[in-house]
Amino acid sequence: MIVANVHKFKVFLIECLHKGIMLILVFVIASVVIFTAVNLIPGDPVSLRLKNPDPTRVAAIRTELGLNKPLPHQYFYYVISFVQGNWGKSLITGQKVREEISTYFPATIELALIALFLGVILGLGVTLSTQCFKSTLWRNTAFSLGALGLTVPIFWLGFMFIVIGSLWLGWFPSGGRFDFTLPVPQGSGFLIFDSLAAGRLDLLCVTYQYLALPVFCLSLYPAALVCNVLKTRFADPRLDTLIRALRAKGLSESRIWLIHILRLLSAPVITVIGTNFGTLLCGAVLTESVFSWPGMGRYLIEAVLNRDLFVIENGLLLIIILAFLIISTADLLAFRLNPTMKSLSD
Amino acid sequence: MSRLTTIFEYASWGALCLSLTGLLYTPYNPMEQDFRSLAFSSASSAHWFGIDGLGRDFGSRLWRGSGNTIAMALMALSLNFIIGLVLLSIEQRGPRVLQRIILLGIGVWVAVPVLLIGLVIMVFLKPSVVTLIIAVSLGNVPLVFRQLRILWIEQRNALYVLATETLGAGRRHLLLYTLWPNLRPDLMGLAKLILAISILELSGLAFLGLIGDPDFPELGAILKQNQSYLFRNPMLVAWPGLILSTLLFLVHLSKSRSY
Amino acid sequence: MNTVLYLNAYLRCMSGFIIIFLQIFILGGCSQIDESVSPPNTFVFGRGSDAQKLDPADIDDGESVNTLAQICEGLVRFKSGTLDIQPWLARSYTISKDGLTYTFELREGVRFHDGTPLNAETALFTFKRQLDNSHPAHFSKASFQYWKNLFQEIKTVRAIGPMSLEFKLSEPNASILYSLATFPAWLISPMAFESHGEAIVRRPIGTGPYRFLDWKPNQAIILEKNQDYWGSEAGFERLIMRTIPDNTLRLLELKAGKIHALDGLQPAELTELDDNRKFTIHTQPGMNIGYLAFSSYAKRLRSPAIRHAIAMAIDRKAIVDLALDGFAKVAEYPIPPGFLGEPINSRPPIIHDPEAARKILNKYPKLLEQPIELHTFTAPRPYFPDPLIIASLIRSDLENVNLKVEIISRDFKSHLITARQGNFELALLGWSGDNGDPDNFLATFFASWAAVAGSATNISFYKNKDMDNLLITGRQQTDLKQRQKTYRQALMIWARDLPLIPLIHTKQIVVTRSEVTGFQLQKTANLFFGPISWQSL
Repeated sequence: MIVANVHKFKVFLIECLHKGIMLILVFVIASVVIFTAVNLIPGDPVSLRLKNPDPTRVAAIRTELGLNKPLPHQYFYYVISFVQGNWGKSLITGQKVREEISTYFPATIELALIALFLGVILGLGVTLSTQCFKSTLWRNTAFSLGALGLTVPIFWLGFMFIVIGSLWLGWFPSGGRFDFTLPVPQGSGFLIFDSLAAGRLDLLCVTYQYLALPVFCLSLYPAALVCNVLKTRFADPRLDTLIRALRAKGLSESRIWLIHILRLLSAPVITVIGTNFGTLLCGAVLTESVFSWPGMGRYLIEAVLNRDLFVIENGLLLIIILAFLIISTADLLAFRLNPTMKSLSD
Repeated sequence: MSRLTTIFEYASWGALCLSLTGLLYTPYNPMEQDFRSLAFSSASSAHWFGIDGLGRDFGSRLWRGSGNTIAMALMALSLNFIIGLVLLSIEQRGPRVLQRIILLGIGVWVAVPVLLIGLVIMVFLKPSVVTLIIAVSLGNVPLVFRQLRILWIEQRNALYVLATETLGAGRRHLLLYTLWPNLRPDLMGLAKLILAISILELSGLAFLGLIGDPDFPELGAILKQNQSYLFRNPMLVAWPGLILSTLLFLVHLSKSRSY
Repeated sequence: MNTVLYLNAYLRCMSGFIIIFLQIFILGGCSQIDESVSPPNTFVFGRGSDAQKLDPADIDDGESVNTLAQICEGLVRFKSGTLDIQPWLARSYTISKDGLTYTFELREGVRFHDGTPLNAETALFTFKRQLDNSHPAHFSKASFQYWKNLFQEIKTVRAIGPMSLEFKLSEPNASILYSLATFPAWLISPMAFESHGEAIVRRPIGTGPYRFLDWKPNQAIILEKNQDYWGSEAGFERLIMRTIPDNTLRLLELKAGKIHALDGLQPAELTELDDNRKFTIHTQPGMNIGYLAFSSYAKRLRSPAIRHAIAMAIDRKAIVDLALDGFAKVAEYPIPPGFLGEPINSRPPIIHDPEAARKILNKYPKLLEQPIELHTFTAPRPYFPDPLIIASLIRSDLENVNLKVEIISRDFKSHLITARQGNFELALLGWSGDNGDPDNFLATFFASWAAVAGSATNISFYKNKDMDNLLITGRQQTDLKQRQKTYRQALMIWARDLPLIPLIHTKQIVVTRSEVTGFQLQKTANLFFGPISWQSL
């Protein structure tokens, strides 16, 4: 038993190491591609930055930014300053990129995480209810709804939600992140966390009201994913046998469900969420666009369309690294939870 | 395959073909603002879907739009499969070093969402239809590659293939008469999955304005252009979304259950 | 058997989450009823874009100006709703006979928001930093283009007493007093620069009825009442300028009562508000122009004949009808109607005639080889509520005369950068007048000194000696008849060379809730929220 556990741990460590190497690879490849792309942009970023580009000032700023050094030198300078968190200033707004990201990033994460959470609950609920009511009609309806979550374009759904939830019912605000007539809770930038920390339940409610429509809109996709993946698990007759066996062992009902079955079901859920995280991110950006949500998506798209050099170099790289980290973490978690310990990458 | 799936199969083929005819024929020119005096008028016998805010026949725009969306998705799909197949053949037949590199590369590639690939491409290409197609096809390469690889390895090492090989079948015979009939249904399923994903991603990116030309008839772009008329004429926003959903729904339901 | 168990288990696992979520919605419902949660005396204004900077000396967009209009004030101002000058932070002013010396007596007892008293020394800072290139607050990243456009005749500014300020001009300029009422001449505190340095471009400190509190980029700018205001007290404890990019969502927020006033409305939506008693629609002809510029750097479009043909091809009436629902006028000249120098009863220089245009363009087959680039932008501006739609209309008109057009749309900031480099073939842009003087339009569009790459307002990069001379003469003339003649001549040169096609003059539209009182539209399109308050309070 102990030997087996040690072996499992070893396998897990090797998997972690593998992911670590991949992370370095992602960083190197992404930074090289972005750096090359930025250097291929026609037009001089410095003259774009200045309202009155006279040659002496352009030269001075080029020296200041180290833009007249050879390219490999510039690349290393870029990588080092990225790692140090020294991300320069936006060419358009003149604000520090780091500060801007620290305001936009929590907005996106808050939206995405809550949507994910709600999505998993919804998906579990729908699947379990199909198990409860064994009527074919309900089952087909539920799974058609699941299919809808995968097929209805999220940006269109957003508009429909605005029309229903905001225009007809008037329950929810149609866009934005917070009601600025109220004092904005300060701190981490995660409004839920900040308002809780400040002990202001009323502000928490306002935050939730603004979150409701975009979160619900975004949660349908993960909900559909969860539905689809659990459907096959529940179809497996061995599940019933397992429950019966565990019960025969004398385990309590909550122990069976919260530890054994939840663990068994969470592996495929985590995997499917992890592998589809990219699509979820794409959905988050579209949701942000529909609901005027001040998040990273709009910020990055505008930066790319505006050729905002430092935002592209640092913001885009950061998001790519984070996306990779999240997907790998999901992989590792699923790997750890999966009793067979089979590597998922092959 | 159940009877329902078969019905959806035919329905989806019908819908795809109907959309694609929009590329060749529309009742009116979807780009010409011939009916400026009738702008915003609702459905009539001459214009079944009404006229949009710029005096264009909305039905024609929707028809051409769905044609364009499907055509773009098909192009992205083909490009995607070509890249996937080339990588796969290198990985299967090439030297060991290349094999390792490709597998590692795909592992990295799969972790970069389509949107971010699109944005990186957008840094040096300007927003256009071609850019979108490239972004979407590159974004889905790892998915296609992995699925193709699983299919190939599974089928290649299957007993019936080995048996045929032992009986002395040539490579061409093996590929065409033994492997292909067994690969075909799975490949079709994969293609449908990728098609659905591509349509969704293409229209999403077009909605974000990454398609460049605001007048280009593509369902996402049409929705974007009419977004400001949400209250004045809600159908201008509702139709593109409904058509997109219907297309995707049919494609989704028609593919075999294993994907 | 397992049916009940599954449900039971699900409820067990999820009950915690479900309770949290139910609580959220119940509490959410409560907070809607509980009025005490939101401070009652807040006014929220919704608009399409965020401010770019909050430094009066280095801004050029309406959003920044309208934010600063609540925070900063000038020596003189336009009497509300007119273009008459009214002494403001200056108690009085005198102009010497030769028109070269202006003296201002400052008002006593005015303090900046940081407590600095207003006197000649502190007032000087605002002007010195723009005039003197070596001044520490003459930031290297700023262009100070407005100073160059409006105040280039000012030679020196100095304090001649504790409360008196003297401007010396190199040449007489009829419009300089009016220009002093515009935003580049609004005063900011010198102490703010000493304590915050370059950060003052994002933390303005003025003397106005509201003081700056916080800025959430792309979300809101939050201002609070200046308790120490010298004039009549502000009507609200807080004033919030919210950014809601989407026109439709902004209107929805107004209807939901989340914002109390808005601008940048799609005129088409007005009909829906017309018979709604909850809202008041303020509208008046605007002192603005939306235009289509040809870049002089675009070789293909150098010939005036081609430009005329393009102008003839564009159906500007259709733009007024389709993109603005009649809330605009076709622009015949590059100055708003009624301005000095506008020819009366003469044949308009541009007439819609696609047939003639096609004939002219047929002589230039080279034009057809590649599509013409038409640059436009995405956010609503006062002169173009939906620039993309206008671009689409123009493209359709040009394709009718067999030209090929490619629309390139960018975010407004990025579009301005492109336009100010002259890096386009056709570009849509507009201008809102600052001081009611024709020079403010004609010199902005056609003077060679306004054609500096990077900060050009003459985005056509049109350079013509005769035009320059006329514009300089016009500035110095004091006799109205003579000025009128000069500007008519300038307009004739414009009509000959046609570096830009005027498209439309839009009406200003601001919608407020009916409870709001004291709001008045300004000719300069600035929004002053100082005097407004709730009716019942």
